[in-house]
Amino acid sequence: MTDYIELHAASAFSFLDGASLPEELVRLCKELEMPAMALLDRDGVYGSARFHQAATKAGIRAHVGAELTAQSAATYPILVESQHGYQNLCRLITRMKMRAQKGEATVDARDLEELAPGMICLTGGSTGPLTAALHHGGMEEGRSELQRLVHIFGHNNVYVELQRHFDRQEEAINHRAIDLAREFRLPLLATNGVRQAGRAEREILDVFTCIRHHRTLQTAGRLLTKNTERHLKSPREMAALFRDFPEAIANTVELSSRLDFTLENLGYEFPRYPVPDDETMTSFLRKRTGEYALKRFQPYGEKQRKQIERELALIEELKLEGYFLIVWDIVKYCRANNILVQGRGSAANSAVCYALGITAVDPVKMELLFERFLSKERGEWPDIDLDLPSGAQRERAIQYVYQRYGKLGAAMTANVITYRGKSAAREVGKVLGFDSDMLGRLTKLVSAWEYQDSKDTLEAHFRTAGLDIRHPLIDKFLSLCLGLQELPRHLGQHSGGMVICQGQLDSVVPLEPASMPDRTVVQWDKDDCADLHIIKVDLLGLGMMAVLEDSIQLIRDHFDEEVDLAHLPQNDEAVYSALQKADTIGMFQVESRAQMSCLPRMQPKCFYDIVVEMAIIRPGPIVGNMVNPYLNRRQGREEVKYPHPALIPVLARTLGIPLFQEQLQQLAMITAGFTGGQAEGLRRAFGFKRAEKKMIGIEAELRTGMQKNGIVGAMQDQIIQSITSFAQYGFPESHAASFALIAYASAYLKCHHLAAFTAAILNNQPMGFYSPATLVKDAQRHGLKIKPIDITRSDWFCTIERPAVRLGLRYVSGLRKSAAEALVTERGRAAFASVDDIAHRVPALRKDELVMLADVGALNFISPEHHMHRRDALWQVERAARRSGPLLEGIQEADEASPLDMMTTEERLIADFDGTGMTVGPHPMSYCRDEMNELNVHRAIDLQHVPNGSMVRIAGCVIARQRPGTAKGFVFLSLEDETGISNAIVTPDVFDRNRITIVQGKYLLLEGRLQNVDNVISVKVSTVRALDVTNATTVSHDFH
Amino acid sequence: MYASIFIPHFQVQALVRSEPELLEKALAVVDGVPPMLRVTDTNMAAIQTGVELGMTRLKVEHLYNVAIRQRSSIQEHSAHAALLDCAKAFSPRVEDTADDTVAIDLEGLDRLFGSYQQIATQIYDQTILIGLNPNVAVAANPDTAIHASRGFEGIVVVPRGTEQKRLAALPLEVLRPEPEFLETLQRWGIHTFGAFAKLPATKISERLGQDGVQLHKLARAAGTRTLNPYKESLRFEEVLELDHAIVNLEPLTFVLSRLIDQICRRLRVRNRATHEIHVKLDLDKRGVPPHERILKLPLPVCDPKLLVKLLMLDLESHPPKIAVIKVTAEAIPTRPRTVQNSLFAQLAPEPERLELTLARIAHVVGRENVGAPEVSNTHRPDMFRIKRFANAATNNHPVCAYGADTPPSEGGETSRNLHTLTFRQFRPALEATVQLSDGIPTWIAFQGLLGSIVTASGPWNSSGDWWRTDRWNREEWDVVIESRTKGFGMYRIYRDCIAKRWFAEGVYD
Repeated sequence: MTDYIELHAASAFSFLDGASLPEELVRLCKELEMPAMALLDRDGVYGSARFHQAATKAGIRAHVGAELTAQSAATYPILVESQHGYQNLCRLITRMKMRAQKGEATVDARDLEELAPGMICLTGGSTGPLTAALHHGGMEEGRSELQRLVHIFGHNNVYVELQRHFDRQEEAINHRAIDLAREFRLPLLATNGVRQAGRAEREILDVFTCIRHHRTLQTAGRLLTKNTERHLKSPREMAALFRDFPEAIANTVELSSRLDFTLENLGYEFPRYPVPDDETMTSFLRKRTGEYALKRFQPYGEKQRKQIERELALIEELKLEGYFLIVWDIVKYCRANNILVQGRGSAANSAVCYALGITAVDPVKMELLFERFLSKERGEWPDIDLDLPSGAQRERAIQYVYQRYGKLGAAMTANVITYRGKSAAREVGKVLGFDSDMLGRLTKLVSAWEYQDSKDTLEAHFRTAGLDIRHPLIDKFLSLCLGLQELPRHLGQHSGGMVICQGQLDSVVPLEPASMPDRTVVQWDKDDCADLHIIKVDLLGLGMMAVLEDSIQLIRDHFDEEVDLAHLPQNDEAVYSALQKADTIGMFQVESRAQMSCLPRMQPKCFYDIVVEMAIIRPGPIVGNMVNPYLNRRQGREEVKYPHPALIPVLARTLGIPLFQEQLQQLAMITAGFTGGQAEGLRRAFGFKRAEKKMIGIEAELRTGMQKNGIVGAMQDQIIQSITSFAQYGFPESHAASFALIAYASAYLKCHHLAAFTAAILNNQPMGFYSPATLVKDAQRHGLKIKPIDITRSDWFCTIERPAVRLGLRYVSGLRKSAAEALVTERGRAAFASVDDIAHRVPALRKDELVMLADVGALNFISPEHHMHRRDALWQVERAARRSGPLLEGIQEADEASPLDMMTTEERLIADFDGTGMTVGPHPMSYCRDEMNELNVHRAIDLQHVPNGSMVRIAGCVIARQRPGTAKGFVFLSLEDETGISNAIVTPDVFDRNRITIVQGKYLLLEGRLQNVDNVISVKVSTVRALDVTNATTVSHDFH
Repeated sequence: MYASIFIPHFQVQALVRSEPELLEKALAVVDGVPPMLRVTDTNMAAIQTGVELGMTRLKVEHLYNVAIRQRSSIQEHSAHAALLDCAKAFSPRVEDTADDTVAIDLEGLDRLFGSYQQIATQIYDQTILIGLNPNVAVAANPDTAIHASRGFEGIVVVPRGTEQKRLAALPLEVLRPEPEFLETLQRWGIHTFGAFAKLPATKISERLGQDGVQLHKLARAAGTRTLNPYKESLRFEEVLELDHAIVNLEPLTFVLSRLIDQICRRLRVRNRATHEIHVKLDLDKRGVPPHERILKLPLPVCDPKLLVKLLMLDLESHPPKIAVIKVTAEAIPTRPRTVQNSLFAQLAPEPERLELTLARIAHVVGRENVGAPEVSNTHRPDMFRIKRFANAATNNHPVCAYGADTPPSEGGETSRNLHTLTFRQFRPALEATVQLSDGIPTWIAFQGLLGSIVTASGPWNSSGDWWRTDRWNREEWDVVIESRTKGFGMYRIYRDCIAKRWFAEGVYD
C-alpha cells in the first residue's frame, strides 16, 4: 500500500460547496485504507464534530482545519497543528463571522497575522491564494504572495499544494508553483481538493453550485465542474498521479504526523461558579443543597438524605459542581424576576436538583431511577432542560446567560437544516430550469401526509400528474432529489440549547451571529456538542408555561387570589373528573385526539396515572403495541405478566408493560447484559433524529446478548420489538413526570379558574392542538361568557371582565399591534365620540384596519345612543378614512345612521370568521339544527346515549384531520357542533373514495356505525357528504 | 338610442365558431403556461358537470365528458373582428367596448331597419350568422345598453325612462368595477344595481369619491356619455391578384416593386418607415397554404429599391414551390431613422448598403452563418454561436461582441500568456485509430497520416451537460507524432468516452 493522506477535503458542511456528508468521506477513507484525513470546510468547522466521531469509530485520525475566505475571494486552506492552533482558528473564524453580514465573512489580514500560531497553511488549489496571485500578476505576484504566507505562518508552516484534476490550466499553474517552491525551499504537498466522496456526487456538487449562484444548470456554464475528478482518491491513484513528484505524496504523511490536534483534546471546561472566598464550589453546593432540602422535602428523612449524599459525592467526583450551581443561578434569576421555570430532562431524576428548586418532581417520592441522572461508568453528562414561558420571558432568561458569561462565553447550539422532500424538490426543480408553475406542482407532489400508503409513491404521484418518470429530465429530477436528502442546507439555531464555557467559548468552537438580534450560535448542533462532552443547558420555550404564568397573573389581578403552582391541591376531584371524561380541550399534552380517546379507558385517579398518560400516547409505545395491553391490564381484562421474571422489579409499576425509556434501558441491561454505556447508547439512539438506522446496529447487539442469557424465540422477539419500537420516540419517566405536573396545573386552572385560563391561552396562540374558535366554544360550553371585541374596552390581549372574558384586539385580522396600542393609549386619554373621532385621533390606524374593526363589530359600541350596527360602522369608516383637505380637517362629524341594512346572521358569521377566526355568537351548526334533526343527525352530546354498534349520522365543522404514520392509512376526523366534539374514523378505502370531500370539506355529514368502548365514542364512517352550512372560513388543524 | 352586442362566454364561443362540432359539448377553455393550465372560460353544459373557473386542467380531465381546448387568441381576434364587422353592417358609428362587447349608435336607423325591437332582432340574427350567440340590448344611453346586454339573456329593449328600474336586479359585477370598490360595496351588503342606486349620491361622493359617483351614476342607468367610435388602425398593406400565375421569380420582381413602391409612398405620406415586411404569396393549388416570408430589418427603411432587392434575395433563397396567383405585402410601420453623423465618427458603410451586402452573403452561405462567432459559456469544447452583427448606427457596442455575456469563471482561467502556441482546429474532428500502452497513446493514424507518438501529455479530462441527453465526456491528449511522410508534428487528439472513438482535433503550429 502506498502512503498518502488526504489533507484537503471539504464536506457538505461547506454549505453548497461540498457534496458529501463527513460520515461518507470517513467511510470511503476507511475503504481506501487511509489512516488519517483532514476536513477543511469553508469558513468553519461545522462538519468536524461529526467527522471526528465517525473517524474515531472507524479508527481513522481526523485532522481539523478550514478553508478561510479572504477579501480577494481566494481561500486559505488551514490545518490545525496544536490545541493552541485550534483555539486560534476558532477565534479567527469567530472574528470574521461576527463582524460581517451572513455569508459575507472574510478573514482579516491582521487577524491572520495575530492568530497564525499553531496553524499550517497550504497554498490551495484553483481557489487558493497562490493560484489567484499567479493568475493576476504572474510569477512576480506569486512570489510576493508566497513571501507573505511565509511571513504570516513561518517557513516551516507553509506547504505548496499541488492538485491534479486532469486539467491543462491547472497543470500550468502547478509548474509555476513548483518553481516557486524550489525558489523558497518550501515542501510540496499533493492533495486532491476533495469536494465529493465519489465520482457520482459531482452532479450534487453542480446542483449546489447552481443554488449558490442562483443559476440553472443550463446557464451556469463554466461555474460548473469541468470533470468528476474532485472525489476522494486512493493512495495508489494519488501516487500514480504524482509519480513525478513522490515527495509531494510523502509529505502528506510527514505533515499528518505533525498534526497533533484532534477534537479529542478540545480543551473545553465548564465555567466555574463564583463563590465567597472562604468557600469552594463543593462546599457551597453542599450547603445550599442542605439548606433547601429541608424546605423542599416534606418530610426530609433518611432516604432523602442518603440519596442527596450519593448524588453530591458523584457530582464532586465528576467535578460538576459548577454546572449545578450555574443552572441553579439561572433558575434563581428566573424566580427573582417572576419568570416561571421548571426543569426536566435527566435532572428530574435528581434529588439535588429538586432540593435546589431546579425541578418540581420529587424523585425520592416518585422512585425515579437515579442511574438515569448521572453515572460515573457511562461518562455521560447531565442533561437539564429548563422549561420557560415562550416569548419575551424566555428571551430574558437567555439574555441573562449572555450577560453573565459574555457574548463570547455563551451561545446557542446550532440546528442544521437539511434538505428534505419539499425543499430538495423545489431547489432541484429550479436548477433544472422548471418554471414556477411546474415547480409548484412538483413540490406538491412530494406527499405531505404523514402516512404514505402503497399508492403514495413519488412515481405514482408523478404519473397522476401526467408526468412521465421515464423522461430523462424527470428521472434526473427524482434522482437528484433523493441525492440531496439529509444534506445540510444552512445553519439555524436550536430552539433553546445553550452552551457555556469557562474562559472563552470562541476558543472551543467558532461562534457566529444568529439571525435573531443579540444572539450568537456555535457551529455545532446539540448532538455534536454532546458527543464532544460540551455541557448544554436547554432553555426551552413552552407555550403552556406562558399560559400558566399569565393565568396566575390574571387571577392575582382580577380575583385577588394567589395560586402557587408548587402547592396546588393534590388529587383534585374536578381535575380527575375532567380527565376521566376526556373533557380536556386546552389542557397540556392531554388534549389531542389520541390522548382524549385514551383517557376514558385510562380513568386516571392519581398523579402517577397522569405520568403514564404522558408517556403512553407516543409513537414508541403505540408502534410497540404497548397501549392496549397496558389499558386492558389496568381494567383487569388481562393478566399482568412479565416477559422474564428478572424484569418484575423494573416493570411492576407499569403492569409488566415497558412504557418509559428508563425501563427499556433496564430491559436491555438485564436481558441482553448491556453495560451502562451501551444502555446510554440505546437512550441516545431513542432521541436521535436518524434513530431507525442506529437501531439496526443496536438490535444485533441486543439479540446476541439475549442469546447468551438464554432468552430466545418469541420472548426475544417481544423484548426486541418493545425496545426497537422506542426508536419511534418515547418518553423517559422523569420527563413524563415533569410534563404531568404541567398537565395537572393546566387542568387545575381550567377547572377552577376558567376565565383566567381561557384569556391566557387565547393570548398565547398559536399553541396547542385546537384553534381559538374551538377553545372559545369549549369555554362557552363550560359556562364562560366571552364578550366580543369592543373598541371601547378591548386591549391588545384578551382581558377579564369578571366573570367574563373580553376578546382582545390581537384577534382582529390584519390589525397591527402598534396601531392597536396607539388606539388603546388614545382611548385612555378620552373616550372616543365617533368613528370620525377615532380616525382623527389615531392616525396610525390604516383604512383597512378600521374597515376590519367595523366588519367584526368592534366599532358598534362607540355611541350606544345610536345603536350602531356593523354596516353603520362600515358606512362611517369609509367617510372617516377619506382624509379631507386641511380646510375641513378640524371639523368632526358625528356618527349617523346609515342607509345600509343590518348584516344577516350568515353575513355576521362570515365577517366574524374572516375577521377574527372565530365567533362568540352561536355555533354555525346551531342555525341548521332543525334541518339536521330532519336528517336524523345526532348532536355530539347525544352520542353517549346511543347504543354501541348503532348506525348514526353526525355532522359538524371539521376541526381536525389526522392521518398518523402509525395508523396504517386510517384518517381521524373531529367534527364540532354546538354541543361538543364528535370523533370519526375513516378507513383507507372510504378515504380513497371520498378523498376530495374529506380533505376539502369544511362541514361534513358522516354516517357510520357508532363505536362506544369504555366511553370512548367514535363513528366508523361508511358514507361522507359535504354540508353547506355557511360560507364562513373555518380553520381545521390538519396533520397532512 | 344605442344597441350593445355582448357575447357571453366569449372565449368558448370564439373556439366553437371555428370548431362547430363543439357546440353541443361541455367545453372548458384553459390558458396558462403548460402544464399549469387553468380554466378561463366555460359553457353552461360544462358548468353543470362541475367545471369552475380557475380549475386546473388536471381536475377537469377527471370530470366526465368535458372537452378541453386551449384558449386561442387567433380565434378570439377573428371573432372580435367579425363582431365589429357585424356591427358596422348596421352603423358606421360603432364602439369597440371590449373583446366581447360592441356598442352601436342607432340614431336614424329606425327609418332603415324598423323599430328598435326589429333592429335588435336583426342584429341578433346577423350575429348568429357570423357564428356567435349574443345578447343584444337597446337603450337610450350606451352604458345602459352595454350593462343590459351583459346582464340579460337574448334581446332586450329598455324603453326610455325605465332604465333604472329595468337594471335594478342586475348584480354589481356587471358594472365591472375595480375590485376594491366591489369589496367595499359587498361589505355594505350592496349586491345589485338597484341597491346601489338607492344610496344617496352625495354620501357616495363623501365615501367613494368621484369614481364612486360615476359608478353610482351607471347603476342608476343615468349615463350621459356619447359613443367612443372605433377607428381602424393604420395598416400598410397592398394586394395584387394576378390574372396569370407566375412561375418564375423574375416577373415577381415587377409585382413586388409595384406593391412596395405603393407602400413606401403611403409610409412617406404618414411620415413612417418600416422595419418589417410580410410577404404572402398565394399559390395556385387549392388546399396548399400560402408561401409566407417575413423580412426583418435592423433599422427603419423606406427605400423601395432596397426593400425589393432584399425581398428578392430572400425569395431566391426560399422560393415558392408552386406558381403564385396572389401577392400580398404588408409593411409594419415605425418611426423613420434620424441620424446626426458625428464629425469624428469612424467612416462606415451606409447601413442600408451594409444590410444589402450582408443579405447577399447570407443568400450564399445561409443566414445562420453570418455574424461574429461568440464563445459559449460552457466547458463543452468548441462551443460557439454566431451572433448577428450589431448595427453601428443604432448600437454603440462593438460590432463583434466576444463573450459579452460570459459570466466570470469560478475556477479561474489561466492568463493568456500561458498559451503561446497557435492551435488550428480540424472541423469536424478527424476520426483516428489509436494504439495505447498502459493507457497512454503510442501510435495513431488518421486521414493519411500515421506514425508513432513520441510524446504524449495528458490525459485532460472533461465532461458535462450530464442532465441532458447529449452529455459529453472526453479525454484529451497533446501528442507529438512522428510520421514518415510529414516528419514531427504536435497534435491534439481526444477520445470520446461515450462513443468510445478517437479523434484528431487539431494541430499546434
